[in-house]
Amino acid sequence: MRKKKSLTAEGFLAILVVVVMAVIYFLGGGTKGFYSLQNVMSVLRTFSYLFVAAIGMTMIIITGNIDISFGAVISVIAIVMAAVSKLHLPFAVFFPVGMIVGALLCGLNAWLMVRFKLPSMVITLATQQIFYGALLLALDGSIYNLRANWTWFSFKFKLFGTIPVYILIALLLLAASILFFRYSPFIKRLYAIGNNRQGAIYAGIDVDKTIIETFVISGALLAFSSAILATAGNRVTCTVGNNLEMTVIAVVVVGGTSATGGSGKIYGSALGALLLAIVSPALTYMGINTYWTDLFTGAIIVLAVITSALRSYHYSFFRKNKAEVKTNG
Amino acid sequence: MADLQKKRFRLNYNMVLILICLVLFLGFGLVRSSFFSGKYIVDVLKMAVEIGIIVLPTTLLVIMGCIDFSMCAVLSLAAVISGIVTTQTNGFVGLLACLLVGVLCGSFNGLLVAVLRLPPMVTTLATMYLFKGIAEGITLGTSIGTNVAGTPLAIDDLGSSPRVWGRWYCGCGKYCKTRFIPTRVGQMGRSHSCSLMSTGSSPRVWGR
Repeated sequence: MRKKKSLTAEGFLAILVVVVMAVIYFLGGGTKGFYSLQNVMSVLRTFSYLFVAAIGMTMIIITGNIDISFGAVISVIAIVMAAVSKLHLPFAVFFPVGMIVGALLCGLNAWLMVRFKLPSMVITLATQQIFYGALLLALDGSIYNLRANWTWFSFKFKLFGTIPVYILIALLLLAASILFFRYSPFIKRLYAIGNNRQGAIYAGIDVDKTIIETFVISGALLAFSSAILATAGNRVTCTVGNNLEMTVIAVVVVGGTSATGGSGKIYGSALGALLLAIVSPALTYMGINTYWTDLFTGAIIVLAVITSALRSYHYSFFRKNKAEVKTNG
Repeated sequence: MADLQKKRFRLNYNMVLILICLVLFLGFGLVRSSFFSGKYIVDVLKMAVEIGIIVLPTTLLVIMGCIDFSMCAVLSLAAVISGIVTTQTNGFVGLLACLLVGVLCGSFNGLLVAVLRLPPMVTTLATMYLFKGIAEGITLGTSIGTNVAGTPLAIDDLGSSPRVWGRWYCGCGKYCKTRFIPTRVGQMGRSHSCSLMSTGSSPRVWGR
């Protein structure tokens, strides 16, 4: 009854994003300030790579799994793409290669998981170390002296000379994923698995296959994030995706996806990505040292999560806990 | 038959770990005989202590079906605070501050998880950013040296070596963890009034 009246987590998040943007606007004295073209593009760039990685992570978390090898996979993809590019091959070749590598690596995670029935956390923690370790073994830390057209995707590939096409692709992916999440039977299977794995098996869902497919799709999508990150400079280091997995998980949980799986919305993840993408440039704009970024990021996540918990305070905490206290003396 | 083998393997899981340790130890030793020298062994043991102390409370958390992402962040925050306090006062007060920071951070996590019933994964992910952010903000990304002239250090020999200040902090931070995580466990345990094991058997207890 009360649940119907109250805001959804995504609705609350949307309000938070609007409030933050308004506060930044008024702190700028009502001038263009923060919303200059360059700044907006920079925010949207961060949004693009965070959100595209978060699509996969949202699907994975909905099934009740997690993948903490995302950062390492992004690094591997970036290095492989750079290596392929050095063979004088164009973007049209090395980008699909990156997608295949991502799909294979994440597929490997999922295969190990379902084959040996191990928790996703354990497997992906192990493969994360393996991927990083393999990169460090194979290279001296980075690939440099890349060809001139390496950075084409980041700097030259623009619509009307102003809007980078990768932002448009990310927005297209946003629209596509919202439709996909609404109408696709595949996503319905993911929710079923996340809510009740055994029930999903009884309902005739091939759980193992679905999970592997989910991981493969998210791995392929990671190539996009990796391309945005890696093509920003003429040198690709092994640590290009370092710690990115935590940011992506943060994006997803801020977006209202339940960490235990079974519920979540893709536009929530999009709002989360936008919110976290704003933090760092907003601090710079307000003249605060960027070393405080993590503090603000953390505070925002804590705030978002606490408010969403307080909305259902009456349900989850108050009643249950009182009953518990009584029964246990 | 296959079942039996599986069972035996599970029972001997720790034995397998010990075996792997031995094989690795002997293997490295055969490649480089200096690995067997006393200095090396002491070094390896020092590292084992660092990881080992952090692992003890983590075991309790994992048994409960929880996870803690914020450990490293708490570690660096406690280390930074204790470093600052040490330069202002002395090593002993610095150590106390270190413990206090650990207790506070752990209590904050525990409060969010136990009272607000947030999933531990989300909570510690958020507080990881929070604590790391505080540590980074205070130091502005640099390190804090405690070898200021005239600063008395009462606990030189607590960490690995007083010469390596970073390591000393690591030792400090990890010592801290042994103190604060039982606090957190206590908090969770109290408000849920159920034993560790029974919580661990049902991971959904922590669900939203």
